[in-house]
Amino acid sequence: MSRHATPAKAPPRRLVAIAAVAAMTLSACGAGEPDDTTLPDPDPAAELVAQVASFDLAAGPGQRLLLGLFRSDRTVVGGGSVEVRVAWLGDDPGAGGEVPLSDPVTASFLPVPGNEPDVGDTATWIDGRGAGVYQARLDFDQPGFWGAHISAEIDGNPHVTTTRFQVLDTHRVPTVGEAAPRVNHPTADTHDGPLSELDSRAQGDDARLPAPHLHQVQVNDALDAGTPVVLVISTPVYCASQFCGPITERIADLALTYDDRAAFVHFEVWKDFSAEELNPHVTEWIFDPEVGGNEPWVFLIDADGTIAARWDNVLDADELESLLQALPAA
Amino acid sequence: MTTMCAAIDQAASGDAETAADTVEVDAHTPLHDLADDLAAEDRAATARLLEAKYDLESSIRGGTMAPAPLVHQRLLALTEHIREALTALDRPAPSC
Repeated sequence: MSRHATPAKAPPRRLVAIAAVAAMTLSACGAGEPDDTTLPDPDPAAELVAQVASFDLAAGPGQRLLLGLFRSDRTVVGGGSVEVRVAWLGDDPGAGGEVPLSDPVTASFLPVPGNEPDVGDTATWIDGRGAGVYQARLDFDQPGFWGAHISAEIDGNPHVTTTRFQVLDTHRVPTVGEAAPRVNHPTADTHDGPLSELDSRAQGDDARLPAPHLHQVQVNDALDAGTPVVLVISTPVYCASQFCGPITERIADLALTYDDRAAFVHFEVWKDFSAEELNPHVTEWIFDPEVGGNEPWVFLIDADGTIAARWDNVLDADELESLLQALPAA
Repeated sequence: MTTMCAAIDQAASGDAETAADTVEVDAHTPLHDLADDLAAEDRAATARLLEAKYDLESSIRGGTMAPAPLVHQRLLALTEHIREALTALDRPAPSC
């Protein structure tokens, strides 16, 4: 079997938001002209660093590879696109050596919704606010440990770096084509407890839900009625991802525009963050008892209860909106 | 802490925008790192830190900047929680 990835034809209990499923960040220097058909050895002196920001890569077509690119001083790269090549390293996390690279794939910049940097059409060191990742769709034909070689022209200067990541044999989180888990969850009307369990922003003596329209509908009821669902699983206050942004607010805004096409629901991750207690309906979706889980996630569930799309960590809001526009209005 | 102290001074002088930029550009990632480290030691303190961080961010993001006095107040509150976190992790926690 070929051990390459090809560009897709289409596209502890502790919950931790990690930037990689199991990654070891390597870096390689752009000095000289390395043989770019094999994954180079890491160069600890390199300026550019890459970190995989995907949560749940598995063998199969159209996997969503997210890459955070940084300078060694943590300055984020944004804008434009970069070139990515990948190679299967083996089943062992320590695997390495000279391995052939895939054909190049373009990874385009995806800003964090609500925290968009002021960047143009070419990659640049972000001087100011904002963050994002580089997104590519790849087919991984083999689970195991993979390496990625990233080539970027940043502010007109060439940079290369490498990183490693794990591709699972099957997804840990419900994925496209699978039936959405049918879980009972509280709504604003049925919840009996602190509002912060519905939305971590609802705190204090004067607690109220910032987006009550995301807590009106049971997912199961919507699906039983043949209504598609947009489900955001997030913790606005306790978000731990480096790419945190106001994703819940973005979904709330989309809900105001597209509530005639889908039901919009927010699951708060934490029942009690201090006690490390997840909301049980969240564990059904995104938590694996053996390895934990990550957030945020957004799922688009078809009217027949099948997951039509999902976005881990950084939402592609344009992609979601396009899919919503394609749904029939009620 | 240096970054936070600078932001506090900027907000105190009435420049909420610059204070916000200072925090967003230079403190955002280190704060996440701090929260990650603290979560392994003290969840309750981590909760307080993240709640204070969110309070500040909600006043400086989304296109509507809160008035400088409010930003200043929230910066002070967040900085105290940062110092609490650093102390819990046995790291230097200087005052401004």
